[in-house]
Amino acid sequence: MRESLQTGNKHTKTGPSRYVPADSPYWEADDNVVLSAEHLTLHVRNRDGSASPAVEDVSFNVRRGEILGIVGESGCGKSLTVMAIMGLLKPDVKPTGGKIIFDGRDLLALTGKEREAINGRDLSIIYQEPMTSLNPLMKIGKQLGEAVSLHEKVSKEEIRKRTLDLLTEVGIQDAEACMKAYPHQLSGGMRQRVMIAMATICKPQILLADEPTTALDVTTQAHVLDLLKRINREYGTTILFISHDLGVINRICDRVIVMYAGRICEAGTTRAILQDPRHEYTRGLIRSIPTRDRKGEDLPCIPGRVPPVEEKKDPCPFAPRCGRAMDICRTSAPSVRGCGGGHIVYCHLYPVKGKGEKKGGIA
Amino acid sequence: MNGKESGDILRVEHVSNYYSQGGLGILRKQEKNQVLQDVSLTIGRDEFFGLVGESGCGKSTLGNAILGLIPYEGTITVAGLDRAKVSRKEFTRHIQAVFQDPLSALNPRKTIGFTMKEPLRAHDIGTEEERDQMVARMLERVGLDASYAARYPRELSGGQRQRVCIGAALILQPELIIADEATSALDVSVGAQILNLFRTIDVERDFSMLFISHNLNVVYYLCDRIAVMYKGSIVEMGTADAVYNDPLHPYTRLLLTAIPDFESENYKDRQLLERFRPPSPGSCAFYHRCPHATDKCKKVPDLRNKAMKGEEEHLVRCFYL
Repeated sequence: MRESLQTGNKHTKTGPSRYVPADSPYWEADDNVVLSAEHLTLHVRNRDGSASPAVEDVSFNVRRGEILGIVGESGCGKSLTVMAIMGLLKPDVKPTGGKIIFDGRDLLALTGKEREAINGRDLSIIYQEPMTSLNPLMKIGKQLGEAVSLHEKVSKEEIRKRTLDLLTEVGIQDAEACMKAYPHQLSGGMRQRVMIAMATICKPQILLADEPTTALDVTTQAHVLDLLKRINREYGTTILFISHDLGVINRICDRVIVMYAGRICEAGTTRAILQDPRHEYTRGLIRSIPTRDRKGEDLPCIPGRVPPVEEKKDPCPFAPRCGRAMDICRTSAPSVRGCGGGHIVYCHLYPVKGKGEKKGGIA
Repeated sequence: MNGKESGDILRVEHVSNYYSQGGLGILRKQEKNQVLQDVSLTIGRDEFFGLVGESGCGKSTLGNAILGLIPYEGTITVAGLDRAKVSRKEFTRHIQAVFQDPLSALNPRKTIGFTMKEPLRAHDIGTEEERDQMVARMLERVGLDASYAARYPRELSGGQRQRVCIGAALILQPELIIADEATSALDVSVGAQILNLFRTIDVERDFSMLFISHNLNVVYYLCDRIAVMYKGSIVEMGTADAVYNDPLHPYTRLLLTAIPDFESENYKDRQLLERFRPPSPGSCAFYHRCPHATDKCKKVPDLRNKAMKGEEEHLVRCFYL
């Protein structure tokens, strides 16, 4: 296992340096960056003991106060990236390269104790299915208070008051009754609101949301998205929002990163990505969604399938499904190209610009 | 199996369904919860019919009732045969289902070919070689090739597995397919492929489909007619164009408003999303969320036809339309 991980690591290291290096002036100049991933690479152990890259050379910046979306299909590595940030990777997933910088520290190198101090206070996470994250045997009020008592020294009365206020804040009408309820007595939307309350009770700097509305009905989803947006605007909480649904991304995110098979394809403002996508994958993804004016015609879907993690991929993982793939796509990984306005794309179809484009070098 | 025959393939008449709340033996609680509330609908031959609603509205329950997986009250007729009077085996020749999760629908220890041949074997159709040929033909029809017959479900991707499930459902040449959230568990790009498959495969052979989904966009894309369900009753039913482009019931409008699209940046009708009032027993199901509700709505409205003369039926359950 260890050997294979190391070979995997070497593989990425010998590859061409494709990003703005972390020590470039760009990084120091922008003090708005609250969290940044630099060349993050994660390997997953396969059944036969070998390791395959599930996230490869992923670099991005999260700016203070923004809602940054990561969109992609299953297996693209979006959830793994978030789990790496939270330090919640399963034992068979190992970070084999790169860094995640938060608050001047590399999150991948933290000890257990240091991690405990950060999780829940500075970084918080909400998941897709609230029922599995809530303790079914504990009343909501107690579960919520737990987070506060772990990170801060406050009286029981104070905790109770804060919990009540917060539950009202997240839109629960009878907060008093909700405090005394068990998770199973609440509806899906209510549970997700409770989860959001729990995740924000310590006023974290960054809230990671991993498909928080996928399990909810569309009408409930609209409410939860509104709530997240309000939390972002009112408290200035930075949100890293994971979703597979471009519609949801459009509703909530300021900027988007599109991932495919462990790599970033394209990143930019939500408007730029959805109105003027550059990467063939993003284009195909947008085209394949059934909408009002597509009734009665064939959906122009992307041929082929998402490659499984353990499969060996081309340097540009999308090449086998790409209608405009060239020979170079199968021999060398595309470097980053700026399209202006912070819109970047990893694709050989676009010209690499001069050094003036440095700022576009990273999502 | 000739699609030219006129008449309806599925008739659901006044179907209701109850489940009792927890408890065993003498501890069983007496009160019953009603799921389906007097549901009636018909699906014509070669028609794709969409059923939309939120989770818990009873759309899957109706699908299960039609498949005979749960008890119900009322009558369900498939291809002129009464559900309650004909044996299950006889029925499976007329009606087949495709479910949400293809992996749990396939036997992990049997090859794809074995699984697909199972219905043929059960109905004693053809010799072993003929069955093999039928499976090979079906695999090609669903966009795979004959070599897949020797593979196991775990070797296939999610989209391929769903193709196998569709193939297994079609192999008996049923007249009605019930697709319960058949594309919901798939990735966007793969889901689009499956939607295309449903469309193209329909051109090749005639069958009707009841397509159950929570996604109004998908249902509109695929279906000829749509029914919208809320709390166990149908609140609006009509042609796909009428329901999607000219929704009448406030709930249908709410559903359409809440769909996040990537063309506009805000909700079309925010007011609809934010209405809440205390529920009142015996009222219109949508009473507590409806922005237009008045005291009149404390009774249950009937389904009424709102279509203009010469237009196709457009039924709505609301007093104020």
